[in-house]
Amino acid sequence: MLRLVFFFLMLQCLNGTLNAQALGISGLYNLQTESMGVGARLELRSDKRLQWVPQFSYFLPFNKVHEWTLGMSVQYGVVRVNKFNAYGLAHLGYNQWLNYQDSKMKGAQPQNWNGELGAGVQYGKSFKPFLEWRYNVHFQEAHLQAGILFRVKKGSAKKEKCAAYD
Amino acid sequence: MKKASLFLATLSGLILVWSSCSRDRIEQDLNEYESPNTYLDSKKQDEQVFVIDSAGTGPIIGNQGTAIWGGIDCLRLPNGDTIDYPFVVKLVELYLPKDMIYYQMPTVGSGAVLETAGEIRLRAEKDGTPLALAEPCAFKVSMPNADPHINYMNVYYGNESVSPVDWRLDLGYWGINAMQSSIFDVDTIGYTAMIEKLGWINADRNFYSGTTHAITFDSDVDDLSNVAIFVYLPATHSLIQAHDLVASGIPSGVNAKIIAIAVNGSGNLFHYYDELTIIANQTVQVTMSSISDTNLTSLLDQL
Repeated sequence: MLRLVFFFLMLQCLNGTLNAQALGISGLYNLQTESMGVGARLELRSDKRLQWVPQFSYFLPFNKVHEWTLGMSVQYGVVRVNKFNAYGLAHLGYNQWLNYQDSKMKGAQPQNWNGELGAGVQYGKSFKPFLEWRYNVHFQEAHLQAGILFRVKKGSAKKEKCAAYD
Repeated sequence: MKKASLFLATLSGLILVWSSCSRDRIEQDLNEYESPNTYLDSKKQDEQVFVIDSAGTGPIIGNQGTAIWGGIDCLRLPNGDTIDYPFVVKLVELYLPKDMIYYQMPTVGSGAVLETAGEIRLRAEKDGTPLALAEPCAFKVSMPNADPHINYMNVYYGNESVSPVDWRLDLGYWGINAMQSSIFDVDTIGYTAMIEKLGWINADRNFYSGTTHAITFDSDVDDLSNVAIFVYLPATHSLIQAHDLVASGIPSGVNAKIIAIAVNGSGNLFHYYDELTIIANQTVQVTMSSISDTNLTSLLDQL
């Protein structure tokens, strides 16, 4: 729980100090569990090479795996040409596996910390479709994520000091 | 170009980890089985049929030694009418754990595991219509036993409206006013009693009132949903059948023999066997293995 509080504190700080944001929605498909989900994300520092992306995903109840994950990605733009951005990403998320009891997997438990590595591409400025491939190191599963980001804020570049760093 | 190369290298690395992808969370390719009921039914004791066409002194004797004394005057049709000759008496005898397993007849009454000296099913019919005993009539039954104890076993009746049959002492459940002793006496055959209701009869004793434990059955390799699982307590000849993969009400400290039976889609027989001392709730990991009918029969004979 403390880690979640810290996560939201960080989010608050980032929100106050960074200059451009985009809101996104996405659809997800886990290639190993054959499960479909929906996701939402906030892309901070949207116009920078290094981006912070708090996000939430939910794999729906009709799937073989029913779960949600709340986490944060760090994205680094490797190839940025005009409106095109190809990036690598790392993600850490708190996961609630809601139907873990249905699984025959040894050591299955409802609460997990998932680390993910992946890569993605996006194109656009105000509306940015994106596609990601991500690998979950914990469960050794890959999923695809496709969605669209809407630019919602072009703030000032003025740096504000975060109270958390005082 | 350098960045593009870096991106491609990263992508290649990520594709490499694809080979370590796992479907463990949803993997369901457990060994599947079909219901073993057909197999168990093929092995169970036959119901013996005796056609009674005239008066006599009796008794009717089953092929395992059960003796029955009863008269036509005690038998009634469902509408209360008396009958005349001939009529039929049917008898099933379950004295061995093997036979109780084949018949899937555990010795549990109202959740309590019972000690048993054997189970019989005694029925009567007239032209295919089930008959009942008229009150206050009773049939005398003697059940073979090499070492019977006086004032030890009780007459339990089987409630067939639930599955598996639940054993009850109280005849009032069926609206019958008990007139006879509910305790088995001892005779030269074994245990003897006057029974006041036809159907399943069990020489039982509720032998334990302390802490009980449950065994939960699980498997990483076998789908146990169609596996018949029994727990046999040799000290009291008690039989428990797992329901929803749980066998409960097991007295603390007893030695238990676990036998699981399954048949796969090709008709091949599988089993699991283990012996445990039950001192706490526990989970048993089951791994079914192939066995011949001969070997399984031999295993059940040795319970």
